[in-house]
Amino acid sequence: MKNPKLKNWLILIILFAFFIVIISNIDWWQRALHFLFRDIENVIYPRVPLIAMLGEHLKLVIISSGLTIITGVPLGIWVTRSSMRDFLDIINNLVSIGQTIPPVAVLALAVPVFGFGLIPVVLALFLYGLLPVVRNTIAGIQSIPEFVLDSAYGLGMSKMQALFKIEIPLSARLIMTGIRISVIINIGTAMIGAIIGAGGLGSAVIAGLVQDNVAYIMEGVVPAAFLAILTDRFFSNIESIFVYNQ
Amino acid sequence: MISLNKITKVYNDKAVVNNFSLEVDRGEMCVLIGPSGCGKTTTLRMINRMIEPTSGEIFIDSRDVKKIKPDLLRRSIGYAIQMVGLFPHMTVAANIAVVPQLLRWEKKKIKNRIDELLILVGLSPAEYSSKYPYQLSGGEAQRIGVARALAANPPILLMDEPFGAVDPLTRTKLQTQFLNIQKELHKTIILITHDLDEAIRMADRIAIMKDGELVQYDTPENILSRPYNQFVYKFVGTDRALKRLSRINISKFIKSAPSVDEDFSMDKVNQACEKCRWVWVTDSKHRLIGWIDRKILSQTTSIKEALVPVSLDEIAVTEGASLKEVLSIMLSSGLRTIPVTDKKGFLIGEIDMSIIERISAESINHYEKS
Repeated sequence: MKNPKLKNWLILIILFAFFIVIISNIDWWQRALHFLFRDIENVIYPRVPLIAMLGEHLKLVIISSGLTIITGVPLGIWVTRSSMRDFLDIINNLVSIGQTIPPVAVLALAVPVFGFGLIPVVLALFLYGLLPVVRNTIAGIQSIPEFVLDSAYGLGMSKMQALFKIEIPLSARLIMTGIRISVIINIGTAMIGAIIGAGGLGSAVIAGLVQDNVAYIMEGVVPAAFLAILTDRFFSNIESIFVYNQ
Repeated sequence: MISLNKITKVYNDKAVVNNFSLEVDRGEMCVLIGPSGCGKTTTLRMINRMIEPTSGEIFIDSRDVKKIKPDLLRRSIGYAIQMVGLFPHMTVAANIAVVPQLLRWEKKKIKNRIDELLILVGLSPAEYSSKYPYQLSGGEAQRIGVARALAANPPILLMDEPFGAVDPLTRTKLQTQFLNIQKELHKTIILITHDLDEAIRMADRIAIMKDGELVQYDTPENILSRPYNQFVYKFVGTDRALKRLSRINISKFIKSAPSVDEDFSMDKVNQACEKCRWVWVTDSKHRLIGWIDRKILSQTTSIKEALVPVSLDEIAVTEGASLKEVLSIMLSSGLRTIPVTDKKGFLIGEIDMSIIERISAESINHYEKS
């Protein structure tokens, strides 16, 4: 049981090291992209270095996903309390709407209020990523069999004790799945940040689209894809900590 | 110890439990039984305030439970349910430790208590402490459930079909083990079952419920011999005479048995046989080995020749047996009188079928109200 988990973490560490090495050697990029796109003269996006774009991208993702998690998980838990059951459907519908509205539309609506830059992007990403977190938190808590909670209360746990000792640990795996999906969606969606000057890997992609330069697009997309894979592995490993039946 | 006073619980204008009163004495096991939906689980759950009654009062040690905070009340009452409800993310040890931890016991005391309880329910602490619930069989899980309920040594246990979810063989084993535990601990227990045999076997008193009301509350013997009305009569079933025999221990009915040692001379055997039709034969350590018929005696010259050897399993009962077991052995062996031995096979006495006939005659077909 211990060994496969250890192996998964090792794989993650190796992938991560590989990612760092690639990102920090811009010469390799230049050579590789030149090799792939021989007829393109300029293969590296000149305005912002790759490392800086990645930094901006991570900043967008961490802030927005952080907000999503610290509001989404408590929100999901809150609406599953017996006294709050009436709000369950309302919240479920609201977070669904959050994902139905395209983030670009949120940007369009938010820019006149907050101006250009970080805030409207974070808001758009936050709303867009809320659904999987809230939905999975609710599903996680509702997946706990009635009789398990029955014995928790029957043994004399208070509602808070039952929540922290039983409900959260038992729904942790599903909650982590929700977080994983949300963060991965965010890594892709954060590309839109470049539209309104929040930077990120989207800057290279948009420049590439505008100037018809595939190499620029690759410079933005490949690190983002790599980032998504790393994130997926990382959260999967965390999820496996909360599997209790094998 | 536990006293329910005119408890009523109404759901959607329907009284699930109606004007229900019950007294359970300290150290007594009361078994609640009745058809599905008769309100027995609701009644049980009102005692530890998992459900609040619509009206009526519940007292534990003459303290009104309404005046005790539910969490604190429940920590002083052991609770075990049919689905067991072990926490899947905790080891067996952590599951048992739940209530002691809530009560903030010292770590060392908790550790000792876990080992003590695992031994009490017949599981090895070294082997089971660190197992997870998914690694347990149904019977083991039920036993851990009981151990968890007993963890903080509560004076009261509430059990909702605690042996329900296991196969019949395991269930009988668990019942026997639990009865032994109860002999040692003398808890005040309210246990729910829908299995009448379980009720008769375990209960000091049985409370029969129907449609939220108490129909009869009495000892198993009385429920079987004097069913209060047609409902109880039917509920108890046509084999209630047999069920009643299963509650009656043979110890009061053992007669001294004529016996001879296998080394005795034939004269002594003849002497012993004068008054009766047969004698039991024991070895030098007084263990039963067979019997001798008087009619055969005149034709034989030694005990060995006359001896009809017996297998203890087939014709003897041990001293703890019930009259039902005696009857069963009589019917299968074709004997009207069978020997009683202790666990090691020493002859204690004999028991005669006339006893069973006399006892059965007492439980004739009648009920007090029709």
